Amino acid sequence: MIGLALAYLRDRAGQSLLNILLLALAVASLTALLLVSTRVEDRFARDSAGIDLVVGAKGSPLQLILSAIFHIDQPTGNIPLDALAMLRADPGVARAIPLALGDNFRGFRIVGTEPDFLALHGGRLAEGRPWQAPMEAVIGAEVARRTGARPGQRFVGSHGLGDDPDGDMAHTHAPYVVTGVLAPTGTVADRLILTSVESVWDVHGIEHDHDQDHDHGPGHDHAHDHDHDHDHDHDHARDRAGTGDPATPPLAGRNALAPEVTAVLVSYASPAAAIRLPAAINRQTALQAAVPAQETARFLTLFDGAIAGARALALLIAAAAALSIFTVLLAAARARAGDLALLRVMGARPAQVFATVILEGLLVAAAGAVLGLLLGHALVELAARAFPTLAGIGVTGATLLPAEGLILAGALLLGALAALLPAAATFRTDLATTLARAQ
Amino acid sequence: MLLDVADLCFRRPGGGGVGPLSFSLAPAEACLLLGPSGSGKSTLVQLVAGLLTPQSGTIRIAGEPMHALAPAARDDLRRRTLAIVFQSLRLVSALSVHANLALARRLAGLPTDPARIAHLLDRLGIAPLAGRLPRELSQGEAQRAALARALVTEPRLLLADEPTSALDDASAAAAATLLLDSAREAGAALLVVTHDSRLKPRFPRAITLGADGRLAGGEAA
Repeated sequence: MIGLALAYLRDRAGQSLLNILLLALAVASLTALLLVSTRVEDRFARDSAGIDLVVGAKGSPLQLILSAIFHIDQPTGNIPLDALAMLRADPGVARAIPLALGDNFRGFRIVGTEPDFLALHGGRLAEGRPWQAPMEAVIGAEVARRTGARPGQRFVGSHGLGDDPDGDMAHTHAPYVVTGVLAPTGTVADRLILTSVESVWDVHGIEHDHDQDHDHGPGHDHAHDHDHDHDHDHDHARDRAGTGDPATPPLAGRNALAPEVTAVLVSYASPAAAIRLPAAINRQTALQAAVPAQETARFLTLFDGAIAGARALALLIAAAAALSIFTVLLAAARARAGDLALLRVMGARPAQVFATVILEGLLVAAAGAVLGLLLGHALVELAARAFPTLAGIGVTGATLLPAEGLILAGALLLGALAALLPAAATFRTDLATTLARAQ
Repeated sequence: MLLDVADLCFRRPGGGGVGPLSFSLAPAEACLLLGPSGSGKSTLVQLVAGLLTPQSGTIRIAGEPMHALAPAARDDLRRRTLAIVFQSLRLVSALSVHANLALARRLAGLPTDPARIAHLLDRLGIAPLAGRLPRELSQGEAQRAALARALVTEPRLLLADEPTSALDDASAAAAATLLLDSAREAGAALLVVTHDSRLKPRFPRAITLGADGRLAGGEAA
């Protein structure tokens, strides 16, 4: 009977196509929302794993979290290097990883940090070796893929955290050399360029005493002899005076040349620290402590609200599609009552006639669902390519999620339910009356 | 007897119906059941096909009591033994002529057998129309296609309900000849119910119904 159901669909191709498109629109919306929300929540969970607290400059705690953990917002400012020492001296702190932000290469953020950052994100070198000397850098898998950079190649960072296609803000005086490429981690590390904190200071001409620097990770050889030409292409002095690019406050918006860091990622040594440490830090005027779990939850609540709204709209479209399928099938079943009676006379069982109508609903739903899934993936992929922030948090259309099976099943169920009443009407058809009327 | 109708009666609440009526039909025999509009001819076709249940009397097809069977068993008996040609309800609208015949064979539990379908269409002179939809056929072409759809299931009893009422004399004569020849070649018994008295001379046997649905004037042979 599937051939007959297909024939009936072909027979009113215009209406069938409209119903398919309507359902496809709903499924595409639901699929796109699923792909984005799943990826965002998953990525937030992965990126913030192992980080109990972020300490940075006063400002919005959400901004601090977004910039220091997810690298999708501007930092709130810088904090004195003493803050890092203070945190490391606290018995409640098991690990404190400094971050020094301020530059990028082709839109990928250059992060001055320590090797512990790699451990935090499960970073493993796929090629080369870790950074050791100043101006050495390890690049994430996504950076390597997108830029084609390999160990041994040099690159010049640009001031600020956004792309600098014209190179106006390039630090040509201080090129980095790639020493290693990370294997994909599925975290923010994939799209970061990691180097030492000192390298970031050096690029910006910040004097620092090598002996008094923060504690380095194992194997970190900082006994370097660097000789920079500080003839910058842009005016850091202006930035320091606070009149520079407002998008690049860290390490460029200070009033002094003392070494600073942008933020510190903290892991607690004991649960008790969670009670004491944030409050203690927030009491200090220069520092702010933000709890990733709280801020992420707050952000996701807002995000979930938007997603829920969009989902409700998609479900409304799906309901409209179901109603349209129902209306068309009911009208079709009435219009071809004679056909259905003839089928019965030709020997079709009532269940077969019923199944023909149900199959019509299912075929429309299946076509709409498959088209919608393809459309949803294509839309998300296009959006990820158009908006770097989406790509940055790992949003992609080139992935299949198990929950998409539920969307497919839901669409099929919708098609079957929409066809149920028109199909059931075939059971109630009085053959004799229908045949008499058709004659 | 292939068809045995005895004391059959079916009366509608608002008036009309058929019977009491008795007649029988031998295998491969052709019979015309003639009656005016409202005499219950179509009702009789539906009773014989098991689409209606008689209020009294019996209908046996190949010895099986159609009148006493459960709906599913009636469907099965209808599928196995008979086919009906209607005046206007000829083919499934969304399927081509060929697809209609193929579906009819499948529903009758027979293999599709494209060669047999092609042969039948050729014999009825509509082979070039095999791929057309019913709405693309003329009246005469559609009638032939409907006959092909009925014969393709190899029925033992072919029922035709007003097959010529909308046709001119020449077309009606041609249709009657086609029905008689096709049934004879297929070895099927043929029962044609109609108010079209033009057909009477062409049939070897005729039963006349009165306006009240009872036998009128006996049987002509």
